[in-house]
Amino acid sequence: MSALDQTGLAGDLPGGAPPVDVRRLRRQRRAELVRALLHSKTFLIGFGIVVFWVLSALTWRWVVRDPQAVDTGATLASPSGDHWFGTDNLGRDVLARVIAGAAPVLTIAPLATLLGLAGGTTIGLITGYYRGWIDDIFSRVVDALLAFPLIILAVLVLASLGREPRNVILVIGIIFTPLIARTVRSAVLVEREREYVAAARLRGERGPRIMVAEILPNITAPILVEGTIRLGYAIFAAATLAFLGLGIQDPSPDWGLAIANGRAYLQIAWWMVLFPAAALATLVVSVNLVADGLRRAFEE
Amino acid sequence: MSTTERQQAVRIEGLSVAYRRRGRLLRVLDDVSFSIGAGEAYGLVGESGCGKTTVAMSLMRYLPDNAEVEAGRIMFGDEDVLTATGATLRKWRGDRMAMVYQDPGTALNPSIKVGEQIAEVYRFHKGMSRSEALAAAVEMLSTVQISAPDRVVRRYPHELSGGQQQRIMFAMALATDPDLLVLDEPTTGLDATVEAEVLDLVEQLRTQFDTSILFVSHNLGIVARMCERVGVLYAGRLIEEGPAGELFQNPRHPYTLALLRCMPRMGMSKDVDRLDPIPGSLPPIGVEIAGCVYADRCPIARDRCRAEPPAIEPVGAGHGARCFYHEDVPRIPPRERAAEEQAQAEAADGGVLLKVDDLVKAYGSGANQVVAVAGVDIEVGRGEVLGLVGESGSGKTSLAKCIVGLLDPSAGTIEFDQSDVTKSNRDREARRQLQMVFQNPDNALNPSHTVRAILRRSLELLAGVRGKDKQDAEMDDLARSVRLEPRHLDVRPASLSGGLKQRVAIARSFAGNPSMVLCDEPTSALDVSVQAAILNLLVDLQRRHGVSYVFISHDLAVVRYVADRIAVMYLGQIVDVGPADAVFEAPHHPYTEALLSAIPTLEPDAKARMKLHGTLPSPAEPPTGCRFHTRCPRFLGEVCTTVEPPWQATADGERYRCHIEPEELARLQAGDVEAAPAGGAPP
Repeated sequence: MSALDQTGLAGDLPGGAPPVDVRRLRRQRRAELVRALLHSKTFLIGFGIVVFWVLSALTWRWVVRDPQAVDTGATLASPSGDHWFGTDNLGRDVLARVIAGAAPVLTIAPLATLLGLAGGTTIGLITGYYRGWIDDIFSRVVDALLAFPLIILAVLVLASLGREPRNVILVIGIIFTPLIARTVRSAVLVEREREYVAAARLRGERGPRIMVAEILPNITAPILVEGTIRLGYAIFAAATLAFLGLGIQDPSPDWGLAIANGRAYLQIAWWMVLFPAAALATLVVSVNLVADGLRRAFEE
Repeated sequence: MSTTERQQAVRIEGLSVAYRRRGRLLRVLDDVSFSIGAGEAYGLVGESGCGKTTVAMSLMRYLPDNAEVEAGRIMFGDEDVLTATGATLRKWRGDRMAMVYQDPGTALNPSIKVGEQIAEVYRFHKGMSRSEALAAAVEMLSTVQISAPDRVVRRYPHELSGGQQQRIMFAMALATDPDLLVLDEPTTGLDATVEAEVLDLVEQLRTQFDTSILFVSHNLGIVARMCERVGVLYAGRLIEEGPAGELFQNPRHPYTLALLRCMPRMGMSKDVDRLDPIPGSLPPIGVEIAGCVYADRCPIARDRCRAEPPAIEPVGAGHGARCFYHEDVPRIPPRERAAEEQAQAEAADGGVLLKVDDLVKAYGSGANQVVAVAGVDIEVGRGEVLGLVGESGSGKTSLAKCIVGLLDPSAGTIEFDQSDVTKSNRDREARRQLQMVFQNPDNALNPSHTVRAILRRSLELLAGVRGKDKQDAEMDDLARSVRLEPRHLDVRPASLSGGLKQRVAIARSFAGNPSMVLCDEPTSALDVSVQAAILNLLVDLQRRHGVSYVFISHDLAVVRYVADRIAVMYLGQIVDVGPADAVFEAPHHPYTEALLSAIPTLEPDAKARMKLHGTLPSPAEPPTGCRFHTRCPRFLGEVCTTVEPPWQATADGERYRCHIEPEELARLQAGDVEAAPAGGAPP
């Protein structure tokens, strides 16, 4: 019966976990997420294209020729060895303008999205956590806003406030706020019913702290995914406003603006429209691919 | 083995199954072999994560896409389920084998009438016409004892109760008279009295249909009652197998023995007995283990156990155990009791701590109003444990949330330590004194905070401990008191096991040294081996701090173990209250009687069960008179339906709400024991 003497060799901790190293665990979790993303073709392709455009926006000065340089001898030149994407009606190099055009759009769209995220997260947390009359009022406002064509709203505001890039960011950000708030609100509605929120109330935490310290860290995944999706829309919205002449003004190499300019020459110089339009399309699609990849990685 | 004499319905040979997760194969079943004889009921027991459901799913070949059968055969007759073609499988499922799932609510299609769902089976497998099939469905419903089957067939699943839904599932499964019926925890989601009814039905159907049954369950009592032979799974391996009675009376694997010892059995009380938890935890899924999978937790493990895996060794007729030293198993002593735990602190008799007076909690208003708590009076003394028992929908959680201050009551008063705390906006002192432990620790701990952050915040807000150094010092004491180790403090809840999470939740509620803690089903989300440890911990803490508990549970054996007094709730009212022993002994309220007789026990000489009929009435329209009269087995007549019953007091200090006098009720309830037929006992 000597074996019976060895009782209790596993310690007296029923239900105990094997020893854990905190830093290793955290690293492991991050590594798992990264591995899931690296396994996702959707994410990788999208991410690659986004990186390409971000690099373009940052380094175009040293990579392509001056997008404002006018070559009077070669206006509306078709694509050739000298001008790969041809030239526009003023003889500016389309390739240089397409590459440099990433800069304005990748400034306006992310800033507008951040503004919308900040406002939307705040409103979503408050309405979702407190419910009641504040939630009712907000929901009616969103309904009213959604019934109204957003582009007309933007046109009205920009026509009265002026067409500076700052105002474009402001308008897109404000329009996004209720949309993002709705997503955040629905995530908060799920979380607030969980018992850790009840436990926080039981130990006497106040509402704002429960929202920020208890609930917010647990809804970062849906917020991040929503932000990425919104970024795609923001790029599109900024280009649309520029196309309508309400956003960025000439001589900026912005894509929306370039498409608007090229429209008049479409029949004789298709390259003036095709290349900026393709650039815009690739950026919007790639941002959406990234959003899709992130969503799937978080769901796993 | 005995099955070789009988004809075998199913034979599983060397089944190994792995799940692919993020490019890695994690083995969940390792070389599992057993067979089920024709007409035999085979029970498969084990704790969560041991592979029970994977076995059931493999039998039906319903495995998820990321599952990979690494080896083995499942011989159904003389054909292999694992290599059968899609068409053959489709024919077999429903025709020759059928399955009943844990949650009937999600297994039925919510947009199709139940009659048509059953009729579909007849039309597909028997080629019946629409009207023939519907007639057969009605007939099948009366076989599964659904009242008014011709009306029920026209209902949608959501119009039926959980018990009725599960009967529908049985009707569908049995429609084609299958050779094999797989039951995967068929009663786990149901209340005790409904569970008892469903189990009765299964027993009765077995005599009617000569079907082989694979009964998967974590509940040893149910398996002991329902099955002839039992297999015990641990970490994906079949570690013991044998006739049910023999295996539970004379277990020969240390794990089976430990599992039996850690369950609170009916009649055990914290004042006399101590539960015997299993040390350690299940090995993580997918880890290759050279020796015996149980060696790390086994009290009699030797060097050989870690070096080579044991084979199943025959230990009796049809009884085998996967243990080298199975002969030593009956001699394993119960684990030593700690000195502190043996020293019994007398419950301080410090008068009434909590006094709830005519408490009402209603949700909604007007015609939609649902009264969850309909006038409850309870008192809990200082240092006393009040057990609160009732089925789902009885209002026990609403009552608890009102007491602890998470809900505002609609009427009535709550007095705590002689001050009024009826409203939910309480001061810090009241919150410190009155805390709660929630049912599901996964939900109750914020997944993005570390254990340290969770406990620090409670120390700061409840105990008023400021400053990091002081908090850290207090935290060590707090963690030690719930037997958490320092290494558990810096991780997030997700990397802790269920038992450890519940320890953190308990530590959090004890941070401010409360005088009362409400425990809302604190162990129902845990496995039995972990439950034992948590119950021991709660009992120790109660003794050390003289704290009172209101202990809510649907498990009567657990309540009996921890509680000094017990209150039974039915439809928002307390119907029976008194000292724990008194409530569990006749005379008691007929509902208590029914709850008690619904418990499946391991004892072979259990008395015949008292049956409850009908379903729990909706709390939106409670019955008139006595609320229990619609289901009461001791129904008297008109007086029950019209007059609200008075409180009756028994000699042993119990009070119950019924028209029947204590002497009369005692005679009735004692009579049943004598008149009980010997049938209905497990094999």
